[in-house]
Amino acid sequence: MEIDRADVIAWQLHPAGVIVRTLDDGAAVFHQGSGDVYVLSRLHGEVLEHLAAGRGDFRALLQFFDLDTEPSGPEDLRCKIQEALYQVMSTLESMQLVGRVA
Amino acid sequence: MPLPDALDSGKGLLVSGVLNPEALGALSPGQWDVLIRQARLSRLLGRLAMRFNECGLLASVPVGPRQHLEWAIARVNTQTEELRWELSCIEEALAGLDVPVILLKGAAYHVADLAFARGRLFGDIDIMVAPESLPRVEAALMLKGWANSHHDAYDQRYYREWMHELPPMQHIRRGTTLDVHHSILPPTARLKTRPGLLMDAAVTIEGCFFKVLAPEDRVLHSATHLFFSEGEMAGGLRDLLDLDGMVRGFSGGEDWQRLLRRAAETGLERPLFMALHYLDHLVGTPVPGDVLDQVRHHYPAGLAGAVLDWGMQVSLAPSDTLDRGVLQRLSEWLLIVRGHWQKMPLHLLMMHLGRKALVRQS
Amino acid sequence: MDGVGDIPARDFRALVADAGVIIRFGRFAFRLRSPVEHLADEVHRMYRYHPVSLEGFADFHVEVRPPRTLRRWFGKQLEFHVDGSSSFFPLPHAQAFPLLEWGLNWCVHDAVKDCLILHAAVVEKDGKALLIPAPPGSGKSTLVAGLVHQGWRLLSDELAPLALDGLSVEGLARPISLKNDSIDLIKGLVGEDAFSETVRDTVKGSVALMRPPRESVLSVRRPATPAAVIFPKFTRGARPVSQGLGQGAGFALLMESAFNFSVLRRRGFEALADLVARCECYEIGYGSLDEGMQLVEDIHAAA
Repeated sequence: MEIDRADVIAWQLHPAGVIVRTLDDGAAVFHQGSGDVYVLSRLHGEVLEHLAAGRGDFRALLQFFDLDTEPSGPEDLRCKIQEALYQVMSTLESMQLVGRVA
Repeated sequence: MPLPDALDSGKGLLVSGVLNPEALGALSPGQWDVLIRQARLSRLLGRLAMRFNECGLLASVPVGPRQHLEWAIARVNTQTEELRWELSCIEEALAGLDVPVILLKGAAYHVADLAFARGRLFGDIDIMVAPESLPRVEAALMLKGWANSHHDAYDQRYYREWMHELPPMQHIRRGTTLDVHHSILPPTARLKTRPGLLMDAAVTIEGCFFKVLAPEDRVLHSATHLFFSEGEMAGGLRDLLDLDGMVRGFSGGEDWQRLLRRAAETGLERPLFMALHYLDHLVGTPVPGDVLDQVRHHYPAGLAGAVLDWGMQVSLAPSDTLDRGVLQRLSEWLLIVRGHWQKMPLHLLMMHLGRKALVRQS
Repeated sequence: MDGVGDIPARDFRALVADAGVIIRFGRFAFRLRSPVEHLADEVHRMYRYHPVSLEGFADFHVEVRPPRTLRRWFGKQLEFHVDGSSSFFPLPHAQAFPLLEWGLNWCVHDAVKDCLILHAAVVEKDGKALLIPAPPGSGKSTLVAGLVHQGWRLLSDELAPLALDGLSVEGLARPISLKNDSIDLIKGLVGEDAFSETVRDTVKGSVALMRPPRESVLSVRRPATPAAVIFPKFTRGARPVSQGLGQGAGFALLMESAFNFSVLRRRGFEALADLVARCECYEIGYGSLDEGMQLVEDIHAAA
């Protein structure tokens, strides 16, 4: 599975620009290139805002969102958290809001 | 230079407004009403609005018509952003093929940043590729979500056998339409050209994946499209003013001589002479005297020329309603039959018109 | 400028049939031409207080007339034309007035690019406006007619032009479109005189239009500040409920009802985000007009 290699992946915002408006129950997002608008979860919005500052490595994203559990923690929980973040990134990718850094 | 038409005639209003808005002076509410509607129906509202804006005249327009000009500017800005995205998607689909891709018409004028294209509103994007790379281009586009919009087997065959373009492709997600050409005239047209000549001369634009036709070839293509393609004269005045903008960009006799030589080389003298005839007659575009002498020499003489003139003038004149009178419908019919006749041998034309009539009835 | 009602009905009919009349609603004006006499009569009654002129600039040139093709022989039908072209299906002769109203809605949301056009009603009281977006069948117009009867100012029944700074909403003060059972319900409150003929068997069932009150028409150029957004849902026999919606849910619902959202791109996006940041969004359910109006009053008082 691709997530096994997630450690070496880094993402960045689409170069056309992404505007995020944080809402009380989510985030409204505007893709300045495609003109598409999405209403996403708070986590999606925060990831996008984090990426606005520059590239985001998978490991760094996990740490930034306090999702990087201790290695001593239960292995399956750690996997689930990684998978969840990977899902978030995949969703953002499919919307072309973010792309992988080559 | 002074414009040929009196300002009180509708045509004068629109052409003057687009070419030289400073000369318009104060208009009555009724004149504004006619001007805005004519501009919208002739697809020139965006261009009119941008001209007013560039000349700093927008603020002096009364609030009623000014709203329409401002809305048109908003539409132009949206179109610019949408075009940028659409082109980036086409580039992404085709960049790996390593074939030259040439933008035509509206999108080309836009990326070449031609002055007259500011505010020009258009619908679809047109690209041209060499006939031999057509299958690869079509496949690459389909891989990225463009699909054939004509499912009817007859339509597919019609396009593929008799036309100079693929059936229009539509993006399944965005709904945008893309026309993929391999020539500027159908292979069956009486007027012949060698598209390879145009493709070889296409020019690159700094920092742009797409190429555009050389300046003379842009004139020839636009003239051919306007006078030698299927009817579609609703945008006739808009296209004529495109041509005006292109030839006004010529700096001297050498440019004109190059244009005439190129027309002879490519076999596109007839559309060029027609274009120059109407630019001179209807728009008042400055065309050198010796060039006009050649135009007069080539323009159809006698009755044929007179009928053509009448049909063209009715079709190219701006209208403030799409509710066409009998006169205009008759002349459009004349042009559509002429358009088809230019493109197809007679037996094919009969087949095609017969089928179109049947489809309409069912 | 004279009001439509200042012109005698017979003269009005003749003018509409001939060169047309220009009727102003808010900052827009349409020139109406039509040979259909009962349409002219309905417009004369329903737009009684709207300013009218015979010359000048009009934003939309509209015509309601029989088709010129062979179709005219297949039963009496009418087409709505803008600038001489028709992109609507023709409708039966009796539906002339609803056809005009639907056509005008289309004209406004197709043309306007300097505000976000929401499919929503707007009413105002004490300087606080409520936006009431809703899909057809939700009971929006009935609620609006009831509120207007209670003295609320009508800004619009169908289209809410929201300024791109999200701070104000404009008025159009055009007739309110009522359907089916609500026609008699509201007639019972405001009387027959304010109503057009009821047109049966339209795609929306029976339709009748209600004339906007004179005060609403005269103050139409005064914009209002949106204070809350209410998504109503009338269900016969249902108990009244009111609940706040999250901003994201409100944003998503409003986005669905914004006609020119995609063409405005970033500006439309920001306007909607500003709106939900400033205004609470509510969902209300109710089983009677009185209950619905009470819920609206409560939200208005709290806003």
